[in-house]
Amino acid sequence: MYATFKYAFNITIPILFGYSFLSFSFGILAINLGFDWYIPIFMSIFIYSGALQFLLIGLFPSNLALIDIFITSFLLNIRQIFYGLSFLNKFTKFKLYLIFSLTDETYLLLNNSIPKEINNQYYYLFVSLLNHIYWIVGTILGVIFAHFVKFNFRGLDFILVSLFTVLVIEQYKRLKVIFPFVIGIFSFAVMFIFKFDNILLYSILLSVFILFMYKRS
Amino acid sequence: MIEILIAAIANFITRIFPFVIFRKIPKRLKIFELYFPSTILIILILYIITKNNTNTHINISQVIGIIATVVLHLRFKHYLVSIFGGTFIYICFLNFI
Repeated sequence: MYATFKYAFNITIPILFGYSFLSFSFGILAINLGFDWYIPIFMSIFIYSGALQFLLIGLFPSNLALIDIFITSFLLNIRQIFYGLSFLNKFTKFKLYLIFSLTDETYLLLNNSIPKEINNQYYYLFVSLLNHIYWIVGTILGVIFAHFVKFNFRGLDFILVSLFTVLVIEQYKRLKVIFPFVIGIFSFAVMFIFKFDNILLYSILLSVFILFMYKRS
Repeated sequence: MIEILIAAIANFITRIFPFVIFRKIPKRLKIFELYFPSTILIILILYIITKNNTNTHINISQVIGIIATVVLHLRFKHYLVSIFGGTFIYICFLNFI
């Protein structure tokens, strides 16, 4: 069990920095926008989605109808629908929590191949829980710091891009094929050139479609 | 507070959706299990580095940061070295050039 925890912790170290920095900024921003201290913290505990939380604190002042909030939240994160597909039979023990905490980064880390001696279910739990904790603690620190100092951590959020880059290399080493990457680049390029509004959502939908057609033929 | 609850529910629905719909992964969707992480990774990277790109300066730093990450990773094969080295080089370029 300890070995599993240690392994999971090592894997999540980049997330420790990436998440705490992001949620730290989120906490600071929320307080500066005039929210009560518990609002950003509750969001980080119960919503646990970076993009959505930043969007929400931006949207709140505009008095949106609840149905609009529901639809926006759903559409913004609709890509997550595809994440669970990888874990339909793999999540057994702590299923509900693992599903709740399946963020982009957690999804990618859980997809890594893990050594035989590591217990799967506990590995999933530790990675998910640690990431969630980093996210919450970062928010709390941001809220506290916002009351005292104005920090400038410009550039530290690049950690997430670096992490994704490393994961691309590792994925390539594992799969030894290039087409999933090409499909991703192509889908994004199409949406980028045609200046679609919700570029993330549409490029993902297009890539899903291409991936599906590609493998059928 | 009710807004947080609504957003939390909408977000949770996107995460639990496949578990409710499918018992086990349909044969046709098997490819997603294998290849989708790679595709989504590339899209997320492109999304992050192209958003807020009014300043070309920042873009160059990001490209350099990514190249640095790749080089470090191929050279040292240790993900912490690659990630923090790459980020460090990015921050240097961002702040001093």
